[in-house]
Amino acid sequence: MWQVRRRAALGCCSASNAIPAWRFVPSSTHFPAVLLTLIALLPLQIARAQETGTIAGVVRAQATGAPLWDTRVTVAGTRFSARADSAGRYAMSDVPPGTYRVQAQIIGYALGEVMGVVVTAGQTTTADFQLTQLAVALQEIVVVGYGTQVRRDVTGSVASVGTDDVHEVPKVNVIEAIKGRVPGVDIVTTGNKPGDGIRVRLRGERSLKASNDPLYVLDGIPMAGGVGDLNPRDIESIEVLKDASATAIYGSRGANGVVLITTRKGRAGATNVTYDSYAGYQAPLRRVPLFNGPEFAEYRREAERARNNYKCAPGVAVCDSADAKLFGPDGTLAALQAGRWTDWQDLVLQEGAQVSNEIGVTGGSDQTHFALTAGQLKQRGIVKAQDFERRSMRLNFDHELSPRLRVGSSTSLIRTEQNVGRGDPVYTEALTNNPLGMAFDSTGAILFKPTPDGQRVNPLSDIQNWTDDRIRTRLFGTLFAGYDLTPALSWRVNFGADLTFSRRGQFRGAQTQQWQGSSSDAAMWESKTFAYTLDNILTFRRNLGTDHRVDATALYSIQQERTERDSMQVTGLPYEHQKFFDLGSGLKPDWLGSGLAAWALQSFMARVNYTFKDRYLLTVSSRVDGSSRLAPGQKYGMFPSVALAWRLSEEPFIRGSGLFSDLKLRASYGRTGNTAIDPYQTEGSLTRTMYSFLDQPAVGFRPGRLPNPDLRWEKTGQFDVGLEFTAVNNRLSGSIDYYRANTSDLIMDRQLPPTTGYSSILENVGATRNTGVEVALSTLLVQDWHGMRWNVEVNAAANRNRIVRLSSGLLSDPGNKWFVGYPISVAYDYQFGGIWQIQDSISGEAQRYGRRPGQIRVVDQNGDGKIDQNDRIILGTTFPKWTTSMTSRLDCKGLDLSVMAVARLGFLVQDSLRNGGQSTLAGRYNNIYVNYWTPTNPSNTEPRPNAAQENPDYGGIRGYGEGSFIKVRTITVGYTITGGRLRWMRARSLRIYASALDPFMFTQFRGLDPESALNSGVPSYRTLMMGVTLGI
Amino acid sequence: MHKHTIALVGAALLAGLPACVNLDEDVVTGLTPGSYGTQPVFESLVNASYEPLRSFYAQERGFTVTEFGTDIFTKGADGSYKYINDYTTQLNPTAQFVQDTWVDFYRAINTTNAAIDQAPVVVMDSALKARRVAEARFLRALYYFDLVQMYGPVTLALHETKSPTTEATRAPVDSVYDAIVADLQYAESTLPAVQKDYGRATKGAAQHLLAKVYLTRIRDADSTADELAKRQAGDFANAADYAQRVINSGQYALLPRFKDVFDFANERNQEVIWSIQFTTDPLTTGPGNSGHLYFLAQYDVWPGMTRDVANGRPFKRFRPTWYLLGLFDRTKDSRYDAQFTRVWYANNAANIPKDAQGVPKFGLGDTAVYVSTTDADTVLARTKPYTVFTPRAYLGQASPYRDNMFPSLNKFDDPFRSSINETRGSRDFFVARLAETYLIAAEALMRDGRPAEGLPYINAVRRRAAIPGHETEMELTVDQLTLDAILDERARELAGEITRWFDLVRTHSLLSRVRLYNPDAKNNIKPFHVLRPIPQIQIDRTSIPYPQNPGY
Repeated sequence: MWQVRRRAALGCCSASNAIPAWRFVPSSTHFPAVLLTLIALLPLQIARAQETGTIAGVVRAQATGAPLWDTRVTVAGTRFSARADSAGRYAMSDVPPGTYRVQAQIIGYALGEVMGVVVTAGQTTTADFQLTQLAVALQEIVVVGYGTQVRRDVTGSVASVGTDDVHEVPKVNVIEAIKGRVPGVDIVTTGNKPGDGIRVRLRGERSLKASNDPLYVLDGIPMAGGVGDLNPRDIESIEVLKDASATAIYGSRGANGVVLITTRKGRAGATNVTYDSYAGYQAPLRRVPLFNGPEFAEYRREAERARNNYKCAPGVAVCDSADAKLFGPDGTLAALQAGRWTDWQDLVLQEGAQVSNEIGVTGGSDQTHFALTAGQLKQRGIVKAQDFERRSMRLNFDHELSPRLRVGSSTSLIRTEQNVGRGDPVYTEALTNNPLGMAFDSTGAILFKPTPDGQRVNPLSDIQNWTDDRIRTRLFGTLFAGYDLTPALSWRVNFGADLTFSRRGQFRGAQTQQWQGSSSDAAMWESKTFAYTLDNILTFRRNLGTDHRVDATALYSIQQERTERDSMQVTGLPYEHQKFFDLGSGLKPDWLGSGLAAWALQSFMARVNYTFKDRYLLTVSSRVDGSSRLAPGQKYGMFPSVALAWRLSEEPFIRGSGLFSDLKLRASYGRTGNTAIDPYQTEGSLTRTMYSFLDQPAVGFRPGRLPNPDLRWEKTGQFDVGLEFTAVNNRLSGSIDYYRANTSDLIMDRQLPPTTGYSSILENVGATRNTGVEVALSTLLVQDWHGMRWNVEVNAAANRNRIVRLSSGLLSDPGNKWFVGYPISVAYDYQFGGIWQIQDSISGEAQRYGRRPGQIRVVDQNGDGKIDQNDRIILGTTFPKWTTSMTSRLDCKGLDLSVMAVARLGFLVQDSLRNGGQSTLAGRYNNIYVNYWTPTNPSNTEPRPNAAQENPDYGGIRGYGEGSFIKVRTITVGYTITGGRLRWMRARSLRIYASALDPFMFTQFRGLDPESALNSGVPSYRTLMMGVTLGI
Repeated sequence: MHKHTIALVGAALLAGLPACVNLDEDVVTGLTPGSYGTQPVFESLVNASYEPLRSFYAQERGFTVTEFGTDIFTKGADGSYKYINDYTTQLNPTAQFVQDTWVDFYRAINTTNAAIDQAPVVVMDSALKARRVAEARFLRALYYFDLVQMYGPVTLALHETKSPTTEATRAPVDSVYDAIVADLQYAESTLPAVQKDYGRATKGAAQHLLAKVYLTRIRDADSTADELAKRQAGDFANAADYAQRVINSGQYALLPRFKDVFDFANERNQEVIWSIQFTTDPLTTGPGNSGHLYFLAQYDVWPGMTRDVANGRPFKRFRPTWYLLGLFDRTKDSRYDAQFTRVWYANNAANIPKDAQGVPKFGLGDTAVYVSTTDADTVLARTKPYTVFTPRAYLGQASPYRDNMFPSLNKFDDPFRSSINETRGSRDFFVARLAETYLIAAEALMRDGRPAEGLPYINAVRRRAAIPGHETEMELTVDQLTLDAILDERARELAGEITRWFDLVRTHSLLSRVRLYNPDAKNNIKPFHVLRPIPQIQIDRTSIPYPQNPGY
C-alpha cells in the first residue's frame, strides 16, 4: 500500500492530492469540503502546448482483426488520453516530445501496451494495438457499488444477471428476474392479487425485529421506496452483492445484501426502435377442494349428530323430517332435495389476463446517447374485480461535453393502480358460503343473503360493492456529471430524487359483509414521500508500471427522506356512487389522522482495489454512516471490509495445464449494518389515548415508550470464501461460496416486567448466525453442432440460520417463537397426534385427557397425563434447507427453447386452509373437503364435525407439513428472424415467442401453494402467453 | 472549451457541495416525555388514566374473569375462554385475559403515577390541580383494588417508571390496601360532589369505592378469622359509614322501577354514581361497550328469524345457571322479566314456516322464538307454530340447544349500533350505582353485628324491585338477613355487572357456591382458584424471583 502511494505520487503530481481518499479520518466531517476544494484547483493545471507531437494508431482485436471501437488509449503517467472511433482509429495531439509507454484498454480484452513510443515535435508517431480477447466470463463488466469492475477483478461475491436473462421471460416485478438465477437468493410471493409484492431474502434472515429486505440501488441511487413500481423492461442488468466485501460500501444498510439495478442506456450508432408486446391468460394453479351440496348436507347432519340433534343414521335416505328441521329454517331444503348447489369458488374466479405493450427507442452519436421507453402493463386478476395497471415512461440521456466531462440524466415516471376489492377475504367468503344457498334470485339479480346466516353474504355482492384502489405515482430521477480531472482521476456527482405519491381509497357499500345492509363507509389514505441522495465520488484508476493497478474510490454522500401522511374514514354515506370522493357528506367521521416522519443519513466511504501482476487482488473499504435515527453520541458507525483474491489461473503451474482460463480464489471479511429502526425510536414517546366525558372527547397522552439513548446499529460480520472458475475452453464456469455471517447488537424488544408499565424497550441485545454454501455452475454442453448450442445452468444454496442469543440471557421466548439454537422462524406448537378413536375411549386413555372419540389428539410430549403449554414443541422451520434451480437453454438456427425449474426443499409450512377458518367443521359454513371422523369412519386426520362448537379443540395445529416442492418456473419457445428476410418490413429483427410461467408444480403439500408466504387467500396462478419483439 | 469546462466544474462543485446535514431528530408528530410539566400535558395524562377502564369494564375480558366460573353464569356455545369458567389447566399463567388485565392495569398505574409525580411542578389553578390529582389517585386505587382482588400480593409502584428495570417484588396485601385507602381518602376529601365533566371521578364515587374496599379487604385466609379481624379493625363500620355518606348525600336516589335503570334513553340517571363513558361517536368511544354481544342466545337461526341490529349479534358466551334463573320469585320480583329476554318476534318473512296451503303460520312481528321457564310448556311446543325451548331443552346435559338457547341477560342490549356486526355499543357502564351502595350498607351493618340497622337498606332495594303491589311481600325480616341472602340479592340485582367473582371471593364463598351451582366448573375448582395466576411474562421477565400464586 505504501509503495503504491509513493509511486502514485511520483507518477502523477495531481493524483497525490487525491491520496487522502484512503487515509481520511472518519470522524472528520470537514474532510469532504477540504478534499473537494483541493480537487477544484486541479483543472487549472492546463498543459502548456508548445512544441508538441501527436500519437495516433489503430486498435484491433488480435483474433479477428476487427476494429475495437471506444477503446481508451492513454499515455502512461500523463493526462493524455483518447478513444478509438468506429474504425478503431485514435489520435492524441499536443504531446510533448519524449519517450512514452502507451496503453490501450477496453472491457473484454487484456490490457495492450506499446513501449518506447518516441514523440518528436511536429510529428505523428504511430502506435497500433492488437488486443487479445479474454474468456467470456472474464470480460463481463459488473456493476459493483459506486462504479464498475471487470468480472475477473472482482474480489467479492457478486452475482450478475444480464440483459438476456432479465428479459428472457416477461415479468411484472423486476426482482422476479433474479428468481432462480442467483444462488442464495430466496424469493417468495406475499400475495397473488395482481400487483402484490414479493419477499426477497439474501442468505437467510438475520434480524428479528428490523427488516430483512435487501437494499435496492437503482442506477447508483439507494431507493427509499420499493422496486415493485419499476418496469422490468427498462432494466439492463441486475447485480446481487452478497458478501460483506461487496456490501460494506453500503455500510449501515448492507447487512441484508444489496441489489443493484441498472437501467438501459443508449449507444452511439443507428437509432434502434424496439416494440415489445405480449398477451397471456392466467388460471389458478390449484383450487380449494370443497364439499359440494350433498356432501355439505351430510357433513352438516354429522355435525348435528355430534350434539344429538339429528337422529337419522348415516346412509339412511328417508330422513325427511329430520332434514326438514335442519335445512328448513335457512331455506336450503329445496336445493338439497332438488340436488342443486352453488360452486361459489367458481363464481368469484375468472380467467386472468396479462397484456403488455412497450416501445423503446435507443441511439445516439459519439457524444450523446439516449434511451427512451414507454410502456403499459395490464393485469386482470383471477378473482373478479381485482386488477393492476402500470404505465411508465423513462428517459435515459447522457452527453459528452468534452472528452473529460459527461453529464446525463435518467428519469422515470411511473403510475401504478391496483384494485383489490375486498382482497383475499372475498375468496375466503366464497369458500365459506353454504353451497346449498343460491347466488341469484329468479330474476337473475344477486341475492345478498344466500341463507339467513348472520355471518355470510354473497361474495358477488362484495365484488360489486367493495372497492379498494391503490394508486402510486412515482417520479424517480437522477442527474449526474462526471469529470476526468486527470486521465487517472475522475470525479462524479450524482443526484437522485425519488418522489412518491400514494393514495389508497376504500369504499364499503351497504351490501357488503362489513355492513350487511345497514350503512356504508369510505376511507382514504394518502402519503407523499420525497427522498433524495447526493453523492460525490472520486475515482482514481491507474496502472503503475506493468505489475500494479490501483483503483480507488472515495465518496461523500447524503440522503434525506421526508414523508407526510394523512388519512380519514367516514361512516354513513348518503349516496354510494361517490365511492370515496365525497367524504364530507358522510354522517360521521370514524377517524382522522396525519403524520410526518423524516430521516437523514450522512456517509463517507473509501475503497481501494489493488491488483498485483493481474494475479493478486486486494480490496479494502470502509464506510462511515451517520444517521439521524440514532441518539446523539451513537449516530456514527463504521463498517470496514477487506477482501483478497488470487487468480490462480495466472500462475504458470495452472496456466500450463491449459484447463482453466480463469481460476480465482477469494476470501473476504467485513462488517455491515442494518438501518433497522424507524425514525424517532430513541426518544421515547407518549401514546395518544381517547376517552370521553359525557359526549365530549377527552384526548389523553400516556407514557408509551421508554427512551433509549443507547440504541446502535445492528451489525453483521460476514466471512466469505469462494472459488470461481472458467474451464474446458470456457465451456464450464462456476463458483462455490461458503459464508458465515454473525449478526450482533440485534435490535430487539427487551422484555420488561409489565409492572413497570411498559412491556418492552428497544435495545441492542441478541445475536443470530447464518452459515451457508452456494454453488453456481454454467456449462455449454453443445457449442456448435449443426448450428445448435445448448447451455445448462445449475444453482444451489443451503443456509443454516440460528439464534445465538436473546435478550436478558433468555434461552427461549415462546411468545415470539424465538429459541436460542434454532432458526428465527420456527413453528412452535402442539403436535397433532391424530384423532381419538373409540378404542381409546374403551381403554380409558381418551378420558384421561378429558377427550372424546372423534376429537383431535394432541401428543403429550412430557407424558404427564395432561396437555398444557409444556407440550408445545418446535415442529420445524419455515426456511428451506436447500434451494436449487436449473435452467436449460437450447438455440438452433433462430429457434430457442428454454426451461427453468426451481426447488425449495426441506421446510415446514402450515396449510392455513386446514388449520382454521376453512375447516371449522361446525356444520355451519362450508368446509374444505376433508375425510372427517365419524363413529363409522375412524379417520385419523380430521376430527368429527360438531355443531356445538365454533372450532374443533386444538384445531389450529392441523395442516403442518413438509413444504418441499419443485416447480417448473418457465418454459419458453421462441423464433428469431434477422437480416434479409425482414427487409420487406424494414425491420432489423423479429422474435416471436410463447411462454408458460409456473406451468407445473410437484409437491406433497396439500394446500394451495407452499411457495407463497401466505398460502391462503387468492390462489397462485399459471400463465400462458404469446409475445413478439420487433426491432427496427 | 477549457473555460467552459472550468465554469461547469465550478458550478457543479458549488451545487455538489452538500450543506451540512442535520442529523438531529425533531419529533413533529406526537409527544415525547420531554414535554412533561405543562398544564395540557398534565391534564392529558389524567385523561389517559381513564382510558384503560375501557379495556376491562364492559369488555369480554372483564365479563369473563368476573362472571364466568361463578354460581350465576356458565359457558355458552362460543368463545375461546371457556377454561376460565371451567377452571381447567388452561387457566394457567399464560391465560390471555389473566395476562392482559395485569399488563393493562399496570400500564394504567404508570400513567396515574406520571400525572401524580409531575403535579408539583405544573403551573395551574391549584384547586383544579388538586382535583385532577385526586382523580388520578382515585383511578390508581381502583386499578390496585382490582389487581389485589385478582392476584393477591402484587407489586406496589407509586412513582412513574423512568428507566428500564427488571426488578420487581410482591408487596403484602395489607400494604396494597393501605395504599388504596390512602388514595381513596385523599380523593374522597378532595373531589367535588359533582364534576363539570360528567364521567370524572366524584366524591360519591370515591365514597362508594372506599366502602367496597373496606368490605372487601381480606385480612385472613380463613373466613371466620377474617370476619373477626375485619370487625376488630373497624372495616365493616367504615364500609357502612362511607356507604351511608353516599346514600345520605342527597345526590343520588333509587329509581322507582328496576327496569328504568337500564333504560337506554336514560343512562345518566339518579341512581348512577359513577359510570364508564361510551358514546355513539366512533372517534371517542374506543372499543365501545361490547356487553350487548356476550349474553345473547342464538335467536337468529330459527324459523321467522334473521339477525338484525335491534335484536343484536349473538355471541352466546355467558349462559345463566339454573341457580340464577331460579333465584327470582317471578310472581313478585320484576327483575326476572326485566333483565332477561325470552321472546323474539319474527323479523324475516322469507323463512316463516308455511302450512299445507302455503299460508305462513305466523306473521312478521308475531312470536317466533320463545324460551319457556317451565317444562310444562313442552305441550305448547306442539301446539304453537313458533319455536319453543323448555328448560329441559336448554339445560339438559344432552340437549342440542343447551349452549345456544337460554334466557338472555339484556342489561347491555344496544339496538342503536350502526350495523349488525358493529361491536362498539354506546351504553355507559355503571361501575358504582346506588342500589349496590345500599347492598354494601346492608352487608356491612349486618356483618358488623347490626343487622337491624342494615335491614332497611336491603329492603329498599327489594321493594324497588317488586312487581307493583308486591312491595311488602318482598321485604325480608332480620332473621332472613344472612350473608347468603345478601349474595343472592346481589345476584338478582347486579347479575352481569362485573362484580360476582369478586363478591364470592371476598365472602369466602367462591368454592362452595361454584360447587353447588356451576355444573361445568364444580368438578374442577380448587381452593387455590380464589386467586388468579401471576402472568408468566411477569415471572419470566423479572430478574429476581417473582413468586407464583400457590397451585398454579
